[in-house]
Amino acid sequence: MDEDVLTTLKILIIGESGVGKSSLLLRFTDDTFDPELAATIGVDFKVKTISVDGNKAKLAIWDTAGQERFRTLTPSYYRGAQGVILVYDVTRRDTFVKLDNWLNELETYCTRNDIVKMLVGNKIDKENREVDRNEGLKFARKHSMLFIEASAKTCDGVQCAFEELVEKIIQTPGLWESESQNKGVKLSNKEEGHGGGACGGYCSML
Amino acid sequence: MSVSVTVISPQGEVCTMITKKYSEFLPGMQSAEELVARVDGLSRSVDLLRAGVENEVQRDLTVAVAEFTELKQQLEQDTLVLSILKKLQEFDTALKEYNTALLEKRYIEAAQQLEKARSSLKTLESRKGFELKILKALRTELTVQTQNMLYHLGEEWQKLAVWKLPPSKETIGPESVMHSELHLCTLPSKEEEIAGPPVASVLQAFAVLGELHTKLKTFGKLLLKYILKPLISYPFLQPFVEEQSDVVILKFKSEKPDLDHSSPVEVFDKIKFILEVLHKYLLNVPVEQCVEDKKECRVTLAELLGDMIWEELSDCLIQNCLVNSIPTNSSKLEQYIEVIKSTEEFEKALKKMQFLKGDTTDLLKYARNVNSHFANKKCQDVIVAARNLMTSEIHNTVKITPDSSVALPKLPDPGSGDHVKMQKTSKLPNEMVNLENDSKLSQYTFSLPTCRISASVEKLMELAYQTLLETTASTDQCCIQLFYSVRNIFQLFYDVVPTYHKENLQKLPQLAAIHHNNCMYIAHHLLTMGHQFRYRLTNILCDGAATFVDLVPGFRRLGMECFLAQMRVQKGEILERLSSARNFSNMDDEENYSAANKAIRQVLHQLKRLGKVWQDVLPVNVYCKAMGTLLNTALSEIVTRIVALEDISAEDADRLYSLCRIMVEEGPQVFTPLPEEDKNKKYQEEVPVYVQKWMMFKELMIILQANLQEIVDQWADGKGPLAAEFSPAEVKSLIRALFQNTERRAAALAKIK
Repeated sequence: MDEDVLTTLKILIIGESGVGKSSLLLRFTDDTFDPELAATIGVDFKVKTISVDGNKAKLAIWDTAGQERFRTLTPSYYRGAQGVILVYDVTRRDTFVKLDNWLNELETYCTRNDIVKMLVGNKIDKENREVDRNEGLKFARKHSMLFIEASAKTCDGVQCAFEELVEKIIQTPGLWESESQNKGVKLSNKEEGHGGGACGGYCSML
Repeated sequence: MSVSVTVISPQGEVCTMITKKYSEFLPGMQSAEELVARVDGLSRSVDLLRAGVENEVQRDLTVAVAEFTELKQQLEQDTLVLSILKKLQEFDTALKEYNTALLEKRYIEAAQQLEKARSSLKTLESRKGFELKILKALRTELTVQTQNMLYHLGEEWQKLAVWKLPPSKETIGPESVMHSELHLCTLPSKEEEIAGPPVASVLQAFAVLGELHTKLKTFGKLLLKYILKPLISYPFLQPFVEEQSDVVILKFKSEKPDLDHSSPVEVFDKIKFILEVLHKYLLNVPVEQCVEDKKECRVTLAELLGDMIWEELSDCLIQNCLVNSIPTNSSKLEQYIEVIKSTEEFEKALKKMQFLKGDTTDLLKYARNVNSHFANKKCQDVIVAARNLMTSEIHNTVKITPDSSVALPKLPDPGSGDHVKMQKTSKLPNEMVNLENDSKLSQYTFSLPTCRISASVEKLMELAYQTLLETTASTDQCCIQLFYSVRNIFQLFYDVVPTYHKENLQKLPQLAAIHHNNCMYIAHHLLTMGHQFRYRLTNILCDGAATFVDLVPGFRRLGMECFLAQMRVQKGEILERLSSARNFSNMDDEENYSAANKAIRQVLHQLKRLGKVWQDVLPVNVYCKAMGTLLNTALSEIVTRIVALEDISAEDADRLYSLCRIMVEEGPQVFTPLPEEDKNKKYQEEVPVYVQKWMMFKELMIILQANLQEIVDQWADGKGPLAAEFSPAEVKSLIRALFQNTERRAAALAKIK
């Protein structure tokens, strides 16, 4: 099976309800888009192998429910997460304002301090934008997050968002190495360039 | 030879000698013997003589003694007879005297003579062993005469005091009582003016005969039954007196029959009026003649009558008049001073008429004690009312919403008094203080969530508030008593309800839920109840004693324990039903499958039924928690059983999956906290929040349908959801059960760690 995978990374997608977390995930994993997508209940989970700079990484992506009523479930999902994608809707300022709360929650529950954070301003295809790109950028800088604007609908920036996040995680050695070493897999620095162009979706080998 | 001759000679001599001597002695001897014989004869005759004399004298003596005794007895008898005759004579004289006296209607004398006769007879009879026939006759005669006398007296008495009573004997309704009359004869009959007023003489004669007591008792009874008690009980009766030439008639007239209870003041006046009339015409008679013991000497009739009827009368007054006059609410307590005053006057008047002895103050004592009576009455009423509420049905419910600011009475502004200022708290939830912070608390933050409670409990709480409100206007003593009655209400609830309704609370899940709500509702109110009245209670209670907060944990525990017990029952039932699912093994066997299917259907049915009976009853969050816990019990039991299976064929897996799907599809549908069907969708979606093992169950379902790669992906190096729900050992065991031993399986197993 996936022998050439460097590591498995746990990625969490969080953000207010309706900002497009599930749409981003579906676009990324299945390359589909459903404008009438129902609200996530509890949590969703997808696996996808991604190749960044020749490093193959398997992503275990947890798509959480944004609705307040499911919040009691979320804390347990933070455990062991190495990357988090924080999503807001550029056409809804309130989702941007609430980011502080999400960061706070992240701070509270995540089990490691060096977790990599990516801020995604979604729905840039829409016209009634309420949050300026610079605002997002500024906020991301302030909290040392990666930043990208995207649209799950038009595919803009989705792939990039995940790739940049993974790249950053891999560049942060302590974040994943320890686990890998525990597994007894030796990695050389020269493994980049290897195994590029992996299959897009996750493929069943059985 | 010579010698022999010589010897023979002395011999002869001696012989001669002896013969000579002997002949000399013999006559002497003979004479002596004669003499002895003569003496003997003499002595015999002396003896004879003496015996003869003694015999004769003795006989005479006996005769004399007998004679003497006889004489003596004779004498005694005669004396006795004489004394008896004397007594008989006395008796006779007495009777004669009595007869003349009776004819002349000198009753007192007649009575006294009769008494004299009686005492004579008594003396006669007291001699024992001495029974004369005449005594019997005399006794009969005396009895006859006594009865005769009593008859005459009775006649006279009946002329003097005539009752006209309502005909019907069974019931004394207000209507029939109306017709009671008492006629009192006032003037002495003209023929005789010897013994003073007839009333006095008749009554004194009764007294002498010892019958006064019974007569007066009868009179007193009638007086009580037909005049005094009706006067107390029926406020519309108005007594009045009609004076005719020689008769005074005591009658009733009716007015305004609309009152329930008359005021004590009026009743006192009426009774005083009656007694005054009686006193004036009938009873102002000293029973002067001393009858044997001297105590009775100065006793007047009024006093006697008073002694007889007072106890009953005062009881009746207290029970039917004063008790009713005790105010039921404290504002009227002030006015009660009037009643106290009139009671005092009433008793004074009665004492003046000598109806009452100087030291009797039953009524006044009672009336003066009004505060304590008020409090006692109130407390008793409150507890009785509370108990009735507690023993009434639990299942009559009312809906409580945060908007319903129940039962809180409007309290008077305490600022006017010298109490510490406090904020108005008449409607707690609606007057939230704005916090400095921008974000305000919801006005419902501290409200009890919407739920159903027993109507009786709502009333109980109202009762508690009303009673506390009452305390604010009460005297110290009363306030304390009432305050503790309110606490007692709750103590009573704590003890009575779980016991009284025990069986139903165990049997019926809905009642358990309502009881749970009831307890929480009460606890909720107890939190603030003390504070609301804090500055309005008496000083003694102000120092933090007036609180109900200490009862809060108990009540919460009470409600919780009841409901938890019910939850345990339900949980037991669910597990019981699942135990018939044959461990979910060998599902390819039709019989096993149908058993498991049935078990699952049963569980769902049970949950559905519970979801229905708790609907709209439990607060939504409690409802969801409870249903979630029970559903969780079922799911986790199923998971445990399936994970324990050692071999799951492809068909088994399919069937297990379809069983699980029934649970996952229909499980959430039992969440129907609200009666409006469309509003329940939200809670059905939130099932993963309430059911802890929901995700685990879903993961299990994925595994049942997944291939090895998919399982490995779900595990995702311990970072996927499968790893979050199951241990590596569990997943490995499942893989081994589901898949045949191949290299691929080995590879997959190797990734689960």
